[in-house]
Amino acid sequence: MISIEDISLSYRDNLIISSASMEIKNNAVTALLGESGAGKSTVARLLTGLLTPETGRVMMDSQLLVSSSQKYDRKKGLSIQMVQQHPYLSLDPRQRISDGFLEIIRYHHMAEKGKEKELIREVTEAVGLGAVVINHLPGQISGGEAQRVSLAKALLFKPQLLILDEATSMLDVSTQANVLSLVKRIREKSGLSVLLITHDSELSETYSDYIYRIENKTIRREK
Amino acid sequence: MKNTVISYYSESITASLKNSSRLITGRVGFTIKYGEKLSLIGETGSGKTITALSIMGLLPQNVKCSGLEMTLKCGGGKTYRNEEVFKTVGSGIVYIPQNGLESLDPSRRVRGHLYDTLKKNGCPKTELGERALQMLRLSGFPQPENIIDLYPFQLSGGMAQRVTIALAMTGRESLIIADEPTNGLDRENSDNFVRLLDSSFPQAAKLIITHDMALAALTDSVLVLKNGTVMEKGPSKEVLENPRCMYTKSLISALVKNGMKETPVLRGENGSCPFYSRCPSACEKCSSVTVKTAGEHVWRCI
Repeated sequence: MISIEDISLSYRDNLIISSASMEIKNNAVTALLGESGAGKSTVARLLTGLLTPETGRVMMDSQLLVSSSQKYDRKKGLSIQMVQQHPYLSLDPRQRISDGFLEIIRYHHMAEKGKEKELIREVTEAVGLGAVVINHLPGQISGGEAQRVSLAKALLFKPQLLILDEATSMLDVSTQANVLSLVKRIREKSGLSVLLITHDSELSETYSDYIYRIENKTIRREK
Repeated sequence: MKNTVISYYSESITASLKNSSRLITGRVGFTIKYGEKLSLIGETGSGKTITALSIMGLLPQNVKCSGLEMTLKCGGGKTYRNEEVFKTVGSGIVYIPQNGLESLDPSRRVRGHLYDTLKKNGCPKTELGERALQMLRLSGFPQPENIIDLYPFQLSGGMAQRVTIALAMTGRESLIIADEPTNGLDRENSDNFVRLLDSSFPQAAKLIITHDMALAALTDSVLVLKNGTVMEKGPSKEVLENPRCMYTKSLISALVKNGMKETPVLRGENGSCPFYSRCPSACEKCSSVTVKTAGEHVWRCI
């Protein structure tokens, strides 16, 4: 379980969240709702170590992940992965999809030399990406495929928590349904927790076990 | 027709690739009347944006539109035909891009953007300041003085979208093309956008490219595209509440409120219908499908 305890956060000198707390339970989908600019992505940045809290702390399985006085634990943080709103922004436009996977695998020593392609095949198959697609450049694949690539990259880390930061809001309805159903299947198989950051209350109601809302700089539980 | 602002028909749009060519859209046609909104819906890559670009003559160099038959009625009753229509971009036709923030020059203040549009449309230098403030006021900023000197990065997504609407106010606009205008906006901001579009451009015809069914429901008519083929078109209420084509039905059943039903690939081969490989009702009859009509409602399915 990940718990955010009494956190205050600022972004570009503006206080976004003040003394807020929430819990992300294991093997469940937790939704974080809020209007544009309410601070939803700020929470995602906190959980992935891109922002440091001014007060409070974040605990992961009863161990400190980050606090106002202690730096983000990068090693533990690898088990928190994020898929972002714009599918193409997280892909290098000049790098073939397969090379993007190879880069991550080699940098993080995820597989022995010669076994990298096997690992790539494993994660891409898990998200339903064909062998042809991974030889393309980002500009040659659709938005839904690009989002699957981001998802597959996140899965390489065997994450404990997957953050979907408006990850399907740029996708058309049928691609959104396909991607979310895929995440659901992966979650049921691997016991992954999901933090669904969205402004779509209908989606959060249907898809999540727990719902929190950011409003007036605080986080409150709705479900 | 008397009240028609734009009448569009293209036989095909094709992209030339290194060693081959690819058909992007087949026969696509529609008309929009004064003050009406038509939404183009469909999956990513279905040809929505390319159709809009062909209206403005902004297709990429390797993409060609053939069999184009288009007329646009502009203010003053002047009618432009086919390639003549391209000359009206920026005055008669205005384009509201997908991402307000990304479409503004990050190094220029809102004022600079507005002045450019006003100058292009012949506004005297002495009136630039007042007209720019007026455009912002009309696009939903009650205190435009607070906005006009901001840079794009100081605006929220909703504010940037309203600035792009202000930029579209040329005073001579007869067709507004909005490409995924509410992408990434919350429901309230999306609804506000449509209200603003109506109040800012009451007479103009509006072509809205979207995959947001809730937004499509607010328009007068809908055209559903799949891989460049028109699958269904007609009054939005009829198409969205009583869809006849399996593809439109699949889009509607994929909505959150309908349980987000998946449309997986069911068969390897492609049929004569673009939805054949994923259609749960596909059969031999599909190969002989012709376009069917019931009043203004047109669809392509068994």
